[in-house]
Amino acid sequence: MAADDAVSRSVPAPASSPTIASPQVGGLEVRSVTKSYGRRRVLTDVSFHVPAGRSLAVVGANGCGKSTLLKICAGLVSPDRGTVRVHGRLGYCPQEMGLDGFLTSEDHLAWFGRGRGLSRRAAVAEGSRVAAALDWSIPRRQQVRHLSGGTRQKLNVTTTMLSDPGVVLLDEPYQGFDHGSYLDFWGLVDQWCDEGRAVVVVTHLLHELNRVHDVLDLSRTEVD
Amino acid sequence: MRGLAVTAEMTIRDLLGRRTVVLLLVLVPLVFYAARRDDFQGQAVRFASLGLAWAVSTVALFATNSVRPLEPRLRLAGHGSVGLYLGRLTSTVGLGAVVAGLYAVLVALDQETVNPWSAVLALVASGTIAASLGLLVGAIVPRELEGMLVLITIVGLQMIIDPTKAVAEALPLWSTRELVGHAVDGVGDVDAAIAHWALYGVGMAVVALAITAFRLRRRRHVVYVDATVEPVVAAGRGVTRPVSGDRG
Repeated sequence: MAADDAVSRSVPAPASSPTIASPQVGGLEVRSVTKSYGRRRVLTDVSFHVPAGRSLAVVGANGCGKSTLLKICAGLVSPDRGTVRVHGRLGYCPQEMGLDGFLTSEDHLAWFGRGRGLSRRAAVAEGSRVAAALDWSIPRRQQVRHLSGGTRQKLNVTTTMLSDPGVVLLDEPYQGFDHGSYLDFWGLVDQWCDEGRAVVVVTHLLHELNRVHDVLDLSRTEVD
Repeated sequence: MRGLAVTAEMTIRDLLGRRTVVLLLVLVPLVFYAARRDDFQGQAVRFASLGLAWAVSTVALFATNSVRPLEPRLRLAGHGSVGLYLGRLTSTVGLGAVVAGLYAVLVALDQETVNPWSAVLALVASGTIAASLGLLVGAIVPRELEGMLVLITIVGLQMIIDPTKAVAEALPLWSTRELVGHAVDGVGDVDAAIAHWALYGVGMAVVALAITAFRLRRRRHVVYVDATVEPVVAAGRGVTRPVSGDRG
């Protein structure tokens, strides 16, 4: 498939632009990261660079260390060896729900937004713009535990973007998305790149690899 | 301190969202109190204090565990680990004090104690120390079931252990037992109890804060550098992006 074929693929424009006034310019450099759990080596000397404005898909078989690599990039897990250099703020969207089921979506937005100094109103307004791009209208009172899996994942993505990260780390963030939201998501990845962010997506959907600039296959540990 | 107020608010919102928990938080001490109300003088106060400690420490434990997956992301979003911990401490200690206040009123109206103010102090100490204890156990023991068993052991041990033994004084709820003794029987060292209350309350909070800060620390392998040194690459969507398989 040629590059232009990828362009011609119809990608719906986001319903509403989640553009942030002065988005973070990002970049990520991973150098010689090695990680073992006990005797099992999951990552061996992994290096890659995601400059500002580019996206990288991390692929590989189950258990090959994709999520571990993302956690190392986010600073949640220490590697045995190696460094991660980050330009801008980090945003991390985990595979498992990093949410509180007894709070509402707005509560989450207020809590995350406060980290950037946003008021509750400003955080909800900004979160609503990101949510709208995923074709989601944020419910006011519904607790997160009552939301569907796909909707919770949209909240996960929305809270990640509230901190205006320069580097966006997403671990299979589209699980449970309906088809329209799934396409919207990849449109958002394009938009985040256009804004100068560096985006890393862990994915197992190999037919979507044409949607990113680079691919890191951890089964082979080299960047295509 | 960034994040303290909003974390305290969200902790309270989380607990209020669990309506049954709020109901049980108030009812558990009442069950303990009612079960021993007809016993000899003061026994109901002891058991209300015990029920209060169990209920509040359990709530604090679950308040810690329910946000455990959320906290690393909140750190990345700009919150400080001190603010996150102190926000949770403030709200759970406040909650414990409020419930203790309700039982202080009940005891004042329903019980004849030798030193009524010691009874009030005992209940407030019980509610606040229990919050600090629950947060500490939650910080040390990441899983709820194990944490719950630890709490049952600590709180239960305080009630069944011989108070004359030195080990009784080493347990975190010794101050409440001493204060109840002063309230009901007129024996007990109030000053020592208050000192023990303050020492253990602050001590447990400091240890829990240190554990939380360590868990949420910035790892040394991640180096933040100035974004301006990295030129922005125009994404050129659809022009420069090749299909991965075509990249050489």
